[in-house]
Amino acid sequence: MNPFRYERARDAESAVALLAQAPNGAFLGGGTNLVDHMKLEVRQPDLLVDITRLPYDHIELLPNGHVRIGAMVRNSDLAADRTIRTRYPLLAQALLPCPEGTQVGGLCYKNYEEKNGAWVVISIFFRRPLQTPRRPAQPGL
Amino acid sequence: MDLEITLQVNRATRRLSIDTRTTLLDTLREHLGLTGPKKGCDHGQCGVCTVLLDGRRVNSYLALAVAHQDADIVTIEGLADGENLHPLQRAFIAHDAFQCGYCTPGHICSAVGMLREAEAGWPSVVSTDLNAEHVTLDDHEIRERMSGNLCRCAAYANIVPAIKEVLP
Repeated sequence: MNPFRYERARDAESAVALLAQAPNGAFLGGGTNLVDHMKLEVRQPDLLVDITRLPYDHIELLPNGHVRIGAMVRNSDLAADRTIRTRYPLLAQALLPCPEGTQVGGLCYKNYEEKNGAWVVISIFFRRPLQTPRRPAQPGL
Repeated sequence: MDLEITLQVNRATRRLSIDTRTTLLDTLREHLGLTGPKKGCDHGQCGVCTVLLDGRRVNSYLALAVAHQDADIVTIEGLADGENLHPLQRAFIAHDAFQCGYCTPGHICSAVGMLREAEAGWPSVVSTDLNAEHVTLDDHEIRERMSGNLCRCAAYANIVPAIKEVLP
């Protein structure tokens, strides 16, 4: 892994400002994909801006009945959230097969084929029941 | 680049200076001498590196230590209460739920985290009712929820009853 500087962002503005000064930098969210790719040297940022402590990890039911999902919400928390399970079961079902990473990681990572983001985008845009792959228990497990 | 960080590890405060590239797993094993969590696949896919981070199970190989300042970390070494083994540790022994033992620390830590998720009502992909009030951990559910932990010795047939042993 290439050496890199690490900075923890205080707020969204400072996070953006830090990265604006580092063309080869990257935001660090959950790190599920980024850290693995850094180990493989697929990505070699020279600065990591840690955004994990920013206050965007809530799921809010809004007065108009909609739901706001913070960008830092973990997919596992999202799939387990009672409001999501009740109001948006398709979203929970789409995430359960592989509930890793965060919303911001899944939707903003450069490759839109990344598993979590793909399921979420597909389920929203196609607006039809989505048969999530249910893996039966393997023999001997 | 080295940074000073503080971690709470197995109820002890540990201060250390580490390179930003150091994973939590390497921090625990190489810098703190806690060799319970293991390095297996090197990509956070096999689960032998599983520890508890702020009460949740995580693949410590995918976590950068510098990003977890002040985190509360529990490894397999921290599950026992002195000489009193954790109920899951006793159950794994009673059910012969390991052979070489390499995956066992990760399995047990993962099971601790998994049981907390189930207690909180988290569904899994095999749950028949997404909105069930309570989770019933049958064999099917346990296998699915533990599917992130691999055992090349195939002790699964005994791991599942070991976990069932500690269910309330």
